[in-house]
Amino acid sequence: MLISLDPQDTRPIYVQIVDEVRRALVLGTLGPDDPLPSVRDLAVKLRVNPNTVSQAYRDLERQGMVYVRRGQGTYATPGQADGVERHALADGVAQRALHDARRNGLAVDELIDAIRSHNNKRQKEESQ
Amino acid sequence: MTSISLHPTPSSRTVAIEQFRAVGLALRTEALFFVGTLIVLAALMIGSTIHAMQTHPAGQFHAGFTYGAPVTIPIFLMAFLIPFGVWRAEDPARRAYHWSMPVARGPHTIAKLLSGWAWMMIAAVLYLAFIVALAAIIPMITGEISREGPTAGWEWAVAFTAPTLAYLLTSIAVIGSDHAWRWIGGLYIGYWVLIGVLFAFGMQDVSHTLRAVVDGAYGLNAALIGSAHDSASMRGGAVRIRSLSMANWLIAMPLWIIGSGIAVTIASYRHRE
Amino acid sequence: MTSPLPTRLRDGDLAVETRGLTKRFGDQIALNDVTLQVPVGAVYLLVGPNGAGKSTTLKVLLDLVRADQGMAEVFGLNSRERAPAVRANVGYVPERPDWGYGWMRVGRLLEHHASYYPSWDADYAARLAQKFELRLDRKMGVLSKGQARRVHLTMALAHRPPLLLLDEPTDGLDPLMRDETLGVLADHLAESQTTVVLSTHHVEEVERLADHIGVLRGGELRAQMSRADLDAGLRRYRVEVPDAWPGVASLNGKVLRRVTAPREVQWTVWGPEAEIVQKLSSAGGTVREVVPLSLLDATLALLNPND
Repeated sequence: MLISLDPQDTRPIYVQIVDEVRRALVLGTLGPDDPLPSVRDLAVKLRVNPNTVSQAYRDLERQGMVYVRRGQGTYATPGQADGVERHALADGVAQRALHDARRNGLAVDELIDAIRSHNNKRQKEESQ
Repeated sequence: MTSISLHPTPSSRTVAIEQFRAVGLALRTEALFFVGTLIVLAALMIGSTIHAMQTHPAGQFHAGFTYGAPVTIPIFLMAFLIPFGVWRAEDPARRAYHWSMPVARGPHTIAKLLSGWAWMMIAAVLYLAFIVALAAIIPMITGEISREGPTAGWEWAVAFTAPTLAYLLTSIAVIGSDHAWRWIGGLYIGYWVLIGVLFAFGMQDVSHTLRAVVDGAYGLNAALIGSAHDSASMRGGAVRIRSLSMANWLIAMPLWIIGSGIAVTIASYRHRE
Repeated sequence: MTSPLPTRLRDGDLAVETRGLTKRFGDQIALNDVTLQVPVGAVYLLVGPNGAGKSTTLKVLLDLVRADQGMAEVFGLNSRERAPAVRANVGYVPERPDWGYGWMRVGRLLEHHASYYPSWDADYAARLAQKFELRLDRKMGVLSKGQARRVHLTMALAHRPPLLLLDEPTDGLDPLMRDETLGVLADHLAESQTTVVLSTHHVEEVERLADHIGVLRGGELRAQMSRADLDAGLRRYRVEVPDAWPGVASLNGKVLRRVTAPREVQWTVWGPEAEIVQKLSSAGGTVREVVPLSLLDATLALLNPND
């Protein structure tokens, strides 16, 4: 599992880490019962305050995405690849897209139409 | 703050030892220069003795020297310069590092001062040994038996008190100011300028008093090596006789050392930024 | 009602506390009634332009500089009366590169420094020296600014002090070493119980490490708060407005920046988001975007409000 943070993202770091872990769970790069990096290792890797990483891990544990084995570390809860977390990911993407749309003065319908037509265009290009 | 376990300050012993070692390291160049000078001096003296032996018939010259207080002049001249090596005083930033250590500033400065003094005393012992050896070797080369009488006891002590005083005096300037050279140079030039001005305007008494600070019965020279100028005035001028006086030295030396000790302590405890 | 910028933190155990700290150098005011509050375990970012008083504040904590008025305490110890005890618990990286004995070799200086700190961890020092690629045989005086800074970082971290005072810790370092330093700091934070007060111009670098911020300008503490409060309270509002818009009487907060263009206004405001959006909407504006700011942008807005 690779976690990286987007420097342009202005959301709190712990939120970004939670999202990144969620993404890894849904994609499967973080499989069932796979260990997460230790708080220390992740803090060093991302150049992030360890307290922030701890906060993210606590949040993940509270949401049930990970569990803690005492004295051994944090592990991914099995069965995350579909369902609740997938839905949450989609929700996040939608939120960002809608925010962008509003910023550009676009209505929701305009956005959905544009997504569909762009997707069709891309599928046509790929099949050629 | 009960949840934080605070770290202790270092022990005085550890600090003292480390300062002694660090100052010794700082004085390495000076030490090499010192040893080099002694070697050159010995070579010159022995060499000139041998040369004189070859060019003059025996018994017609007297080689060698006796140990007396003035022989300590080289060592206390060096002592005047040592504080510059101890403090490498060019910029205040280095001093700020010294001040940022987890020890009280005054005592820490004194620790460095005393470390430099300790090395100075080691140098004084070596110098004394060197002089005694040289004084013994030269007559052995010429085959003469030393005719000089024993040296007075206090003159042996001078080998240690004179460098101590010189070291303390310069240390006042080096510790107290960022521009020690300006103070020392200024003092020296100012002294002679003042003497000249007083002399020019015929104020002999004031000029005489001022000169007494250096040359008088309890002046600097007396404190260093017990020498004093007794001036008897004759028509048109003063006659100066230089002599060594233990009595003067016994009073002047402690006076000057204690005085400069107080001054250097004040300089060490002053808070500066 | 306007909410002024917070300058006092909520109660808690403080690692560093100053009250009414004032310092003048000649007729230059370096610090003016500064009340710094650094909670235990915080990574506190002190920002401000050159000459704002950041370095002076750190020096007062170490009793290298004495304030004219006010007091400073580190872990409850008075910085002036208990100066040696304070310094025993501080790792300091000074702004100037010529720190330490210029004639001493790096390795020897580390040994020298170690003898003053009984809690010195020699293994950790060796690992740091390796990480920072220190050349132990070189004399301090010939080192470049960046090389010297790496030595100072090693000296400050190796005794695992409860408080780190870092004055421009990455100044003079090449990009690789800057990144390495941030990693070392993150690692140090994970391994040691420590509070950090960090003064730097490179706000983006420490964005992920800092959890408190203090904004100094002209010797005054303009704002002081946790990152959480900053993230919650500071927003940039992008609003579409009609022609000849009369404006809005007052926003429920402290306006830091206002940029106007024809039919569009951008506000940077400290205050409750919902109420501000409501006020803007009811005044006739269409709120297009409400975003939090990056730490750098927040710092700039706090340092240089133009409204």
